[in-house]
Amino acid sequence: MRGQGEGLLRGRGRTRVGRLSVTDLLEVGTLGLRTRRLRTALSGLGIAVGIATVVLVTSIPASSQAALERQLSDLGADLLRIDPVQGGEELRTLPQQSMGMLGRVGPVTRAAVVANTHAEVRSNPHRLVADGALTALALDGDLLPMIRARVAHGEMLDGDVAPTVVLGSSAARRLGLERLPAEPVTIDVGGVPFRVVGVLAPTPLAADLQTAVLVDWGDAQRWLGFDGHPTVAYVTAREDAIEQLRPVLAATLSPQQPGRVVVSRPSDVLGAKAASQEAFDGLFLGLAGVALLVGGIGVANTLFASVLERRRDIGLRRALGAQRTSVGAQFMTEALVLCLLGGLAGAALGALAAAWWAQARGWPTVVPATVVVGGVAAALLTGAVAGIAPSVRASRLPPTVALAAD
Amino acid sequence: MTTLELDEVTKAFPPDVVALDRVGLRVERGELVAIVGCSGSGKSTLLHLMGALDTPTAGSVRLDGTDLTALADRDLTDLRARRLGFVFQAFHLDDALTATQNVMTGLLYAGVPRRLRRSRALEALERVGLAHRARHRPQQLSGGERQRVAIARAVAKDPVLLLADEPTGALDTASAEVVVGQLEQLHRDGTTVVIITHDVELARRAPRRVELRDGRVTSDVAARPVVVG
Repeated sequence: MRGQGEGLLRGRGRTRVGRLSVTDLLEVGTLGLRTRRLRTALSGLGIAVGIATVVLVTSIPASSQAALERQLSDLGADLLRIDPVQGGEELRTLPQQSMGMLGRVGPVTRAAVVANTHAEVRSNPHRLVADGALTALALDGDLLPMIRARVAHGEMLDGDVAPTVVLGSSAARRLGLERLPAEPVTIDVGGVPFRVVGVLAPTPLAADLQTAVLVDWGDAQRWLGFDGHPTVAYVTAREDAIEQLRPVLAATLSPQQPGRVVVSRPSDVLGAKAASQEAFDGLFLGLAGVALLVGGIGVANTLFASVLERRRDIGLRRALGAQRTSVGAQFMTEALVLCLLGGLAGAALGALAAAWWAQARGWPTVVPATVVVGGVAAALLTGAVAGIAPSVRASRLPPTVALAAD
Repeated sequence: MTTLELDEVTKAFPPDVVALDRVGLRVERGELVAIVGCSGSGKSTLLHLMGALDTPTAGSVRLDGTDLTALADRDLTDLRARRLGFVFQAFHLDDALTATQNVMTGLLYAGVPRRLRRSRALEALERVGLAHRARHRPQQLSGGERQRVAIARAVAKDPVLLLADEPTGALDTASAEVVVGQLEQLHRDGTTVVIITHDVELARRAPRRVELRDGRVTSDVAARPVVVG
């Protein structure tokens, strides 16, 4: 039976009319948006908030990470630390000549060693019990510039004849010496009074120094009966050689059993610590999803209202020859354009907010492109889902009913 | 040549309303027919069937030789897009669009290429004497002018049949006079026009008057010899 009409309807071999070109569809589909601007803005805002949240919660950690990486590369990406493996009952140490051995490795620019003297630390000699949280570390080599340490107060060890000590930042707080008094202060290290000459700023690349009191290598041997075996070694090297250097350093300090020493990069450890903080982003991403869902419901609601309001327009278009699919497509276009605009606005808003946040903290602004593209795609998907029911309803409205609507 | 042919057309709405009862009607090409009846007589239902907006419960409706009862919704839609023009009592213009854009909407679904729509819309506006109002929006136009824009929208695609549903129902006498004159002019130019109205005065001016009562044709009078185009 259908065939009877086909010849007439398809006249002159043209395709079926009543279907719109993309340009026409965009024009017709945005008509409702253009004429109801406030409503468009408000329901677009719902989507924008969702996408802005997505962009923001992913850009802030990305920016913070980038800031940290920049900071780490500024400080300490060229730094390697060598620890003996601490096995069983035996507490291992490094060879006495470690510093010289390391200094002879080609790409190494500087080497320094640290040793735990195991001397007890007391704030004054009259205390019976030592402060177990504080360690007395002996330093050999120019370690402080290597770990980008800064003297917050006073000065660095200067090889005075009298025994002197510099405090790590936490140790200073523990001893109540964050600010050095004008008159000389001494603390008791291994039963010997050491004069405090300086306090270090925090040293994130060598956290164990923060809870230590630092004494000169020679002083430690002279006054504390220290045997001269380092417990940790540090080297700096050209950054491009760092990776190849790791096995070389292990073999240098422990030729027989390279596995007895561990070579690590302190900046990597800090980076990993920072990365682990991203776990809580999942929660915010979930919240962004909820925001997007609410926005989508808002869009669906707006479209339903729009279909209801424009029944007569739908009826007219059907009378003028709009196919059901064209009417459906018109409302779907409206949903998609609305959500696309909302998504773009949201992405821009989120990126701006992230930039502001990063700027305020002196971080580089990082807005992941995948998040922006993904966010806009998510907005479009929301529009597609939200648009289905209203579009179907509009397309199923019989023209006679639609025309009779008030 | 017959433009429209209704044969034993019945339209029933469940559960027990029979809006049209075995209606037979032929409209030849180039005719101007007024279908008159009071409210509830079945006028609107008849318009829907003639306009391919609905299909009958029984009987057949043929437009230009095509049996509409055999067609699916998309084919009926296609037919409306290409061959039918509608004029409604309430104009149904989009307030957001200019007169030209409103007329262009009438061509949008008729398969007229985009570049031709504007010129054809302007032509149609000229035909109804509203070329000078092309850029005006509906709220800047009088009721009569709005209806003439609607007429321009209906005739821009050169329909084989122009269906006018109470075209003067929302107009004052002077405006109505202009609109009727317009429809008569289109008829003189060869367009087949069917006007549905409860206005006896308007119906009396038509060359042919069909009276509908309780879903049946009660009289079919040609005032003058029918002009066949």
